[in-house]
Amino acid sequence: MREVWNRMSAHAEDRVVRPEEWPDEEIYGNATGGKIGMWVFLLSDALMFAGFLLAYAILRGGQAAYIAAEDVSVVYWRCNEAAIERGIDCVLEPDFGIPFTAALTFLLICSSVTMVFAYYACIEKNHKGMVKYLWLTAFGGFLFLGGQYYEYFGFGIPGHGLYPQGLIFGQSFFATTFYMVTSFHGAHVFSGVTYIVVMAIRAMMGKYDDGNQNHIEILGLFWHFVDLIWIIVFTFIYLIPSPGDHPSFPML
Amino acid sequence: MAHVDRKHSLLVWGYLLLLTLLEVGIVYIPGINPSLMIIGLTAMACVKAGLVCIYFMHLKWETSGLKWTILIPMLTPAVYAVVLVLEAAYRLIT
Repeated sequence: MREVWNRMSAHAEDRVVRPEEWPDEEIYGNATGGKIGMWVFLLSDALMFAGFLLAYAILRGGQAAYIAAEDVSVVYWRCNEAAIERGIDCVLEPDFGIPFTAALTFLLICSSVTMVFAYYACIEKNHKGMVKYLWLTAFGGFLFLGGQYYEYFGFGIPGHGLYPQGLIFGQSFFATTFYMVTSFHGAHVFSGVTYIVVMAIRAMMGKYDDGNQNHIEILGLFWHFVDLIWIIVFTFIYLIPSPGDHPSFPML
Repeated sequence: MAHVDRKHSLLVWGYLLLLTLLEVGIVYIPGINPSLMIIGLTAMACVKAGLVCIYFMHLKWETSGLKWTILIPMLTPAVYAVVLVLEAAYRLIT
């Protein structure tokens, strides 16, 4: 208790206390209160994502088709040949465009690296580098959001976008859980970009020029978490095939 | 713990890109066993997530207390997923 009180007092008295100066503690070392707080938030967030993903997996695993054929009045979906071989009626599936989402994954991974470089620049008291890498990270996130908007709505280009193709929220278990997971992640990217922009402006004002990397590190934790979640979402939603995709897949 | 190591960060970046390419490549292998594909994709996703956690989120440089505080809650949904898979497999068999 005394240790916690000492930590809080140290924080209250000096808000620019460096992580290295944070009182060393038996379990968490000199991890700052802000860092531990962000980790606790990220853990609760991860469990929320896990809930969505498990709901997706249960509902997805239990259906042969993404959506019943008679409910779809679109021409862009592909008919799953493997399903036909198994005697199942034409299984309609949206064309996810895996290379496109792989490019979005590449974008987020690159933005994670620029965030790490912003952190390094902060430690080295490199004002220019820190500001540059923070803006680059925000730009990467912004491009990702644009990509996700294109994936959903296709920018009005005929034949593009999942929504115009008939993958409509509420029309099937798949569509609902797909949009829940991906848009919840998108909301995190939007929050992250906003957070980075605010921090980049503060960095431009010289708030982090003293080499105190604590705030940039906490921002980095959030941004890397967004990247980490996308890695999981990309694999489990876009890459892992549906039961109808393979004749040898057991159906529940 | 403050540290600067651009070389390792770029190396991790390279591994992440390589694993992403491998993941996408596996999906396009014709006639691949689906169970093998799922195991491979899941393993690669776990390695990628681990690399991000350990190097980019600096868990490598944290105390074991903080590491366990993060790891144990993170594992609970994974354990639950395994239970669900086993339950589904049981329903298939019976």
